[in-house]
Parts: sequence; structure tokens; C-alpha cells
Amino acid sequence: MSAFVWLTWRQHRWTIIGSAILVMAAAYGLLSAEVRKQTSIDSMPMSGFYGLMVQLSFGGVIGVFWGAPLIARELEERTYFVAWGQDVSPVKWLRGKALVLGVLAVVLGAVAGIGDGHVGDNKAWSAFEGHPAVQAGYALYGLALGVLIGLLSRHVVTAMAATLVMYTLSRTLLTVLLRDHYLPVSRSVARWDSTPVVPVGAVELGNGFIGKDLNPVGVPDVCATLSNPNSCMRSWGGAIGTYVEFQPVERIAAFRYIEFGLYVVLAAVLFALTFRLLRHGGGWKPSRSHRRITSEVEPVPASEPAAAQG
Amino acid sequence: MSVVAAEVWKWAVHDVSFELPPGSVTALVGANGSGKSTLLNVLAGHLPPESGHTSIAGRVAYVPQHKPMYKNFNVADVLQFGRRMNNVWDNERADEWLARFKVPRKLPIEDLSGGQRTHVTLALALGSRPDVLMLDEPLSELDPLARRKVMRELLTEVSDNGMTLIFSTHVVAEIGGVADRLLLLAGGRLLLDGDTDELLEEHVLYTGPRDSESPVEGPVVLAKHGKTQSQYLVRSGGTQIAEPWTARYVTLEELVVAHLERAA
Repeated sequence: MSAFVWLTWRQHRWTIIGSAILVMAAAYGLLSAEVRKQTSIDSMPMSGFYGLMVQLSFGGVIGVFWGAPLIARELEERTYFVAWGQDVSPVKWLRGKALVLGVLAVVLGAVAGIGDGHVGDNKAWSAFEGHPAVQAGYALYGLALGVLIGLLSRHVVTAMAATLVMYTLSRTLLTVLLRDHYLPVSRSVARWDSTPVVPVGAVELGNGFIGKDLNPVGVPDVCATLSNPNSCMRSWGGAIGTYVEFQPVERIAAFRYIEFGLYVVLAAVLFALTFRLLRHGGGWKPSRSHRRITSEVEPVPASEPAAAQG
Repeated sequence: MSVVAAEVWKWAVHDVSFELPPGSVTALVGANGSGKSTLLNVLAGHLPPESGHTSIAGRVAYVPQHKPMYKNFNVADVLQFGRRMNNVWDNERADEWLARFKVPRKLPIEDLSGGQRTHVTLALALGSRPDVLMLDEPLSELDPLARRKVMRELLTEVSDNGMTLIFSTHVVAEIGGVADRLLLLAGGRLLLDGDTDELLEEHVLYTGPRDSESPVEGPVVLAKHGKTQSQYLVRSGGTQIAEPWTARYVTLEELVVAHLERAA
């Protein structure tokens, strides 16, 4: 294992050092922003804002700068003959490197998630991603995604771009579609004469009308066409009140660990796929299209060949 | 047998089979694009064959044609890399090789000349004490003096350590007195596979008056007809011949060229 610690450090030290500096600066910015905040209406200093930017993109940074070039650079510069031509097999080589980089990514991710810039010790859904476990999960996922894309694309810049796109896309989709429903939503109901009570800090997910059994009922056609169906529903008689669905802020810790678990599982799946491809030699055949010299030497004919004129 | 290829097919390589005994020095000769590198890549395990199989007894070290090495490593890093990535590592052997060819120690690999980089990759390959050493065009970037020296040193390594050496080249002059086996590839097919000395003894060039038929029995490799003269290269092992025909043995280069011309 010490062999891979040495090799990883020797080959990736500048990216590791760069990422570490970035993360420390971001963590300092976020923590100092929390400390400097005196009242609830104080605005966030710029350092906190930049810290948040780093926090938002940290998994992607790991994926683009650590994951994508890991195999893609070996394939593109054809040094895989050196890397995989020794007594260590390609699988052992990747396992060693992924382990070292993975541990470092988790540690740096945890540091990136220490502060959140504005709420401090208070719980808030708005600071969901400001948590060590969540950031560690993102970092691991980004690394796994980058490595797999690097193996498939065999080209560093392509792999980096594709990783950026895929990471952003998958994070956005998972956040929008899944995150609010990790646990069943809570529902607050009220009769017509009052409004449903939503606890402070909860995130509202939907509202509507309830029937006599306290379950949501649909809006009948006669009322659906109106701009404000409330009074119509009231006179229709099928509903006895209104409800609001929400996730209470107390659940944020559970949600963060579920998010962490989800991304760790995704990372594990991606790594398993990468190892499978590598073991079967399927992903790294030298491809004609990405060989650096041959693809550029041949000029593209601007018009029909000269034979057509003669 | 230390290296076996059985009916290997892959891109430029068509149905190639051969066996190489341990401790042999084999030259893999062929024109550009005849499948030498593909064959070596398959043998070294970097490409899976489409069909057929290869097997190698022992540990392999392979130096591809482009002499790959991490650009920002210096010589000390390469030695460290070899030591940490191999089960067996002979640092002295690698270090000696680098000292012998005066490779600068401080510079990163990207600042070395092509020949110096060749020496670094060779040192890494030799340091791992392989049973089979495969070199793809090892001499292509070396000066004429270094070529002889490298070849001599490699042969010493072979005789001292019982290593099996396979190297590819398209310069036939390089293999005279070096290789004891010859594999000749053309268009991905194996044209010749045999002991160099035996091959040289079998091939005889007969020169005589213009004639449309070979003066001796045996497979004709190449026939050339001038205005008044005919030449026949026959693989028969040297038959007595009467005047006006004359017979002589050919050089390895003539032999290889004749076979390639016939295949073309």
C-alpha cells in the first residue's frame, strides 16, 4: 500500500495540494462568515459567498481534476504500458490509487463541509450541503464518476468536460427529484376557519384540500377552472379543510446521512463498473480516433479531389 | 517453451503461431505496418487477441516502440517506481545500465533525448529481472555506436541470466550475429520462422545464363531474370551444380528482402 501512497503523491501531488488549499480557504471563509454574523439580518461577507461556491462544486472539482485524468491520462499519453506493465495488475493499480485518492477526497470533503456560512449551529434546509458527511459523499461520487468517464473516453479533456456535465446533471436531478422524499412527508391539516400550521424552518412541499377522512381530495372540475378555488371547494362540500405537506427541519440530520449513503452507494456502483471494464480489458483499447498524431496530420480535403478536375 | 503464440488473430496479425525456447534471441522482422507491434502488444498482454492464444512462461517486461515514461519523473523516480511496483527489483542492474549510457540523473524524462529515454525504459525493463524481455524497435532512436553497445549488453544479459529476448526491427543489418531466431512478418502473416543459421544454410543463390527454369530442385524463393542472366534463390540446402551456373550463400539481408519481395 505504501507503494501506492508514494505513486499517488508523486503523480498527483499538485492537484492534491491545490484542492487542499482551495478547501481550507473555503472552510475558513465559511466559518469566519458565521462568526462575524452578529444579527440575523447581517449580510454574508464575500469570503463566505466564495466559500459557498467552492462547497457547491467541490464534488465536481474532485471528479474533474482527480477522477477524470486518473486513467484517461495514462491512456492518452500511452503510459499505461508503464503503469500496467509491471508486476502490479491494472486492477491492483486502480485499487491502490482509488483507495489513496478516495480517502483524501473524503477527508477534504469533510473539511469543505465544516461551515455553512450563515446559519452556524442553527438547523436550516438552506444549509443542507454544509455538512461534512454530505460533502464527503459528493467527493467520493465525483471521483468515481470521473474515473469511469476517463476510462470510457480515453482522453483527458473530453473526460474532464464530460465529468463536469454528468456530475452537474446527476446532482441536479437527484436533488430535485429525490431529496425531499427521503422520508415520508409530514402533513398539517386545518378546518376551513383556520390555516394549517407549518413548523418554523420546515420546507413546504405541497398543499391542497382534505376530505372527511383527513386524506387529500382532488379538486373537482367546477372549481379547478377558477383562479381561487378555495370558496368554491368550501361550498362544494367534499372537503372539510386544507393541508400543507412539509419536511420538518429536525429531520435534516437524517436526510444528510441518507444523502451521504445514497452517494456512497452510487460511487460504489460506478467503481464496480470501472473495475469490471478494466478487468475485461474492454474500456482501454487504444482507439484510432484519439491517437494524437494520426488524427491531426491528415488534412481535411476542402473540395473534391484533384482527380475530378483532371 | 517460454513463449507460445497459437493461431493469433488481431487487426494486422493473421493466424500467427510460433514457439520460442527459453534463452533464445529472436528478431521479429517485417516491413512497416506488417503487424510487429500488434503482435508484441498481444504477446505482452496489452491487447487481447481476437482469437487464438498466447502464453509466456515467467515474468514479462515490454518496452513499446514509443518508449513511454511519465514525463515529469526523473531517473530516481523511475527507479523508485520500478522498485515499488515490482515483486522482484534489481536496482543495481538498472542503475548500472543508466550509468553505462550516461543518462543525466537530475532532468525530468521530458527533457531527455529520445535515445536517453530509450535507456531509461530499458533500465526499468531490465531492473525488474524479466524472464522474457520484449523490445519494440529498441534501437530506433540510438546512434550507431550506441546500437552496437546496447545490443552487446543485451546479449550479455541474455547469456548471464537465461533471459529470453524478442526484439522487432525493420533494419535487417541490426540482427546479423545477434538473433539466433528469425520471425519474418509480412501483411500480418508469418513468412519465416526458424533458426537464423539454418535459414542461411538452406538458402542458396544460383546465378547462370538466362533460363526460365531453376537449375536445381527445391522451392524457389525468388527468380530474377536479366538480359543474359538468371538468378534463382532456392531453399534447398545447397546442391552441387555444374558450370556455367555458380552458387553462393546469401546474407541475412538478401534472404529477408527476397522473402519480402516474393510476398509483396
